[in-house]
Amino acid sequence: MENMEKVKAFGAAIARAKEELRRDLVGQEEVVDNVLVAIVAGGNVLLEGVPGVGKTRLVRSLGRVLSLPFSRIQFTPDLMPADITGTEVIAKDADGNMKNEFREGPVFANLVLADEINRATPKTQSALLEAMQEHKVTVAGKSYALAEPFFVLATENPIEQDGTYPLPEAQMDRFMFKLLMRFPTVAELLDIVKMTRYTLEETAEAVMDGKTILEMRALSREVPVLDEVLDYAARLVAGTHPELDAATPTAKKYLKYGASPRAVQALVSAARVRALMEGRFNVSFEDINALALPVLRHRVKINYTAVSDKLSVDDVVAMLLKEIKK
Amino acid sequence: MSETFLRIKKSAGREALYKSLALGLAVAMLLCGLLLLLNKLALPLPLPLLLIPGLLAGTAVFSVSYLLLKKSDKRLARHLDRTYHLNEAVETMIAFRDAEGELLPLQRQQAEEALRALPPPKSPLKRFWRSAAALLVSAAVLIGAVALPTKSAEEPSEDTPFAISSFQLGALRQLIDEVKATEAMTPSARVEITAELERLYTTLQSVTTQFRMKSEVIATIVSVDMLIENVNTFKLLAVALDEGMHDDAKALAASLIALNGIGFGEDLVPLREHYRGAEATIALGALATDLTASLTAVVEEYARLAQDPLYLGLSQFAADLSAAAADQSGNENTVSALVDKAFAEAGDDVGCELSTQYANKTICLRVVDKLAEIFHIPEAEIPPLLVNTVPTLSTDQSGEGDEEDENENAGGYGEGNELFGSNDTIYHPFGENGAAHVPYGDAYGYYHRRIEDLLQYGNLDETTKQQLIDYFARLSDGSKG
Repeated sequence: MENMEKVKAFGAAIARAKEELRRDLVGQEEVVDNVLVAIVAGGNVLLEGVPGVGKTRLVRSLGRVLSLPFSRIQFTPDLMPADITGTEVIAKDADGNMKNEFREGPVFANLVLADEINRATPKTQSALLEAMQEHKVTVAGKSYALAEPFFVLATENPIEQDGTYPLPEAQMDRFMFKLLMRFPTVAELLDIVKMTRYTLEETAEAVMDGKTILEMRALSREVPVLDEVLDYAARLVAGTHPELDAATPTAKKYLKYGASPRAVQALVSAARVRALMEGRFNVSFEDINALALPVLRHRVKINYTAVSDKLSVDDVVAMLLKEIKK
Repeated sequence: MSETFLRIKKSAGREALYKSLALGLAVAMLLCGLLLLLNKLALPLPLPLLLIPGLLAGTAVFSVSYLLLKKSDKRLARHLDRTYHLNEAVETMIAFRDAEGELLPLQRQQAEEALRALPPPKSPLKRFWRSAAALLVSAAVLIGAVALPTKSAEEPSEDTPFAISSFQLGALRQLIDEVKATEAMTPSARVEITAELERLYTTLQSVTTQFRMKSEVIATIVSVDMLIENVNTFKLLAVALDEGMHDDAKALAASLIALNGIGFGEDLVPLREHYRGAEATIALGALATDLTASLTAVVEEYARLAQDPLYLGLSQFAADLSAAAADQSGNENTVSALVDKAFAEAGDDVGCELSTQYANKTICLRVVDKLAEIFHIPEAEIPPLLVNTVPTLSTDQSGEGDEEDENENAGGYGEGNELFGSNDTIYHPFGENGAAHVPYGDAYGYYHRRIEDLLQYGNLDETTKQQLIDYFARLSDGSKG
């Protein structure tokens, strides 16, 4: 059966990708799983973690595993938009005539690592908006399509706040997931030390390419979703808006504003991929619940009441999940 | 659709049906049982009222329960998903059963495999224990209610033992002494009632069953009632006077029936005013003639009245009036003095005798009341008393006189105008709320049955027996007439 073969190929590709990533990254299984979900679903990912937990390494290994053109942009305060998107330069053609020529920036790759994205100015950060959402770049009034599949994996450091520029909400909304990379356990630290005795280089090998990813994405879109599950996802997102009637008591008490409609899209499309990765052919409530934190934590903002009650965003989202009936 | 799902659905449908049936049946049995208990212990209910509420409630509970328990495909799918943690596989299969898609066949296959892998259903004992328990409890209630003996409101059976207590003997003796000491009543009646009570006193000491005791006490009550009814003649005489043509004779009848003793003299005062002046003698003659005719007629019918003081008083009154009317002196004052004397003597003599008859009636009611109290005779078992019957006179303002005429035409149990010969409603002193009215026909039937029992089983002397036989023979003749 053709579909069954596709599904088997999907599962095998994911399993191999995880295996290869595990060669370079110790622990962080949930982050790896969710990054793969976002890649297949076509979403961008914001990785947050203290220095040294493997954010950049994960993205570099991912670039190897996916065998896609990979570029890394180190965001700094003096980084300019043109440094990302590219710019037009005056160049001579074969006949020696001068003409304007567009030089592509580092965003013209399938996998873009925006390292320490919050160190660049909002103007520069915003240069990625069009690329992340529409997968194209407009320079000097001319649009240039980016190659598919296209992903932005950004990292940020939560503890160094001096000289950083918080990402604007519009840009945050473009990230399908915000994943938190926790500090490794002692056992994982030991594994990391052992691994670096031999090499600091990534050793993961390519197991899939862009075409495979696009096929996997197309397959995931065929996963059926119950109306009740869709309704649950919609109520969950609407429930984060304290100003709406649908808001839960927790949202009214602890949230300043809620998630955008992109959150529902992200939840459902990511849930489809997760279901397939779990070997299922339908989306369940459990898929929505499992993905609620990475999808919502960067899209909602807690208020001072939550801060004074020592609640994090994750705590509030977990409370929301308990309040929404299936 | 998945065969396994269809099989599960069928099984779930059967389970819902069985559970609903059990629940409906349990409710029906429980309600019927409770109503039966109520019926037996407190409130008698007709058979339809015992069954219909239970059946209706059972049907309603069955219907509602079946509607609630019977799951649609979607509800059943959700139930399976939630119960067995199938991650909405079955619900998705049901929701997309008519859809087409690349992965839907695989999804259906996966759901089917998940359904096949479900653990076998629990044993029937585990699934139906609640229903079975409900059935057992309600069946137990129903069986208990059926088995419970009916609380009898009837009199104790013939086997219920009885032994008269010293308290009862003392109370009965006190009652006898009370009757003996009553000077106001007719002496012969006092003697007879005392004798009747003495007989009861003696008899009850050897009675050993409740049934016999009640029979004896009620026989005594009937006997005393009949004695007084025979001694008290005011009703017979009132009816006789009421049949006369003269309005003042009818007024005298009304005064007699009121039985207000010495108040009779006051009743005569307004009548006296009708006979003054030159025409008094003529009017007196008419009244005297009318009274004499009525009294003559009644004494011919009831010979025992010839020696009755009340009859004699009234006759004397008629004779005095007649004498005054026949006065030839032509002196108006003389006539007036004679009339005054006649009215004054009638007020004294007749009023005195009416007081005696009132005392007779009061003593009779007192005896009945005390006997019922001493021997715990329920009010419903005491027969309607003849002394409480009141004939309807033509002078009554209630209009019942017309009905009386109709009743006469309908026939009665006595002869002529005897009060017990009609179907009038008679007064019962011990009815609910202090009084009740019982059709005389019912009272007669009850009396007759009691008397038959007494004559057959009672310990009555021959004289009393003969009196009873004669009395009811006379009533029976009247009814046939």
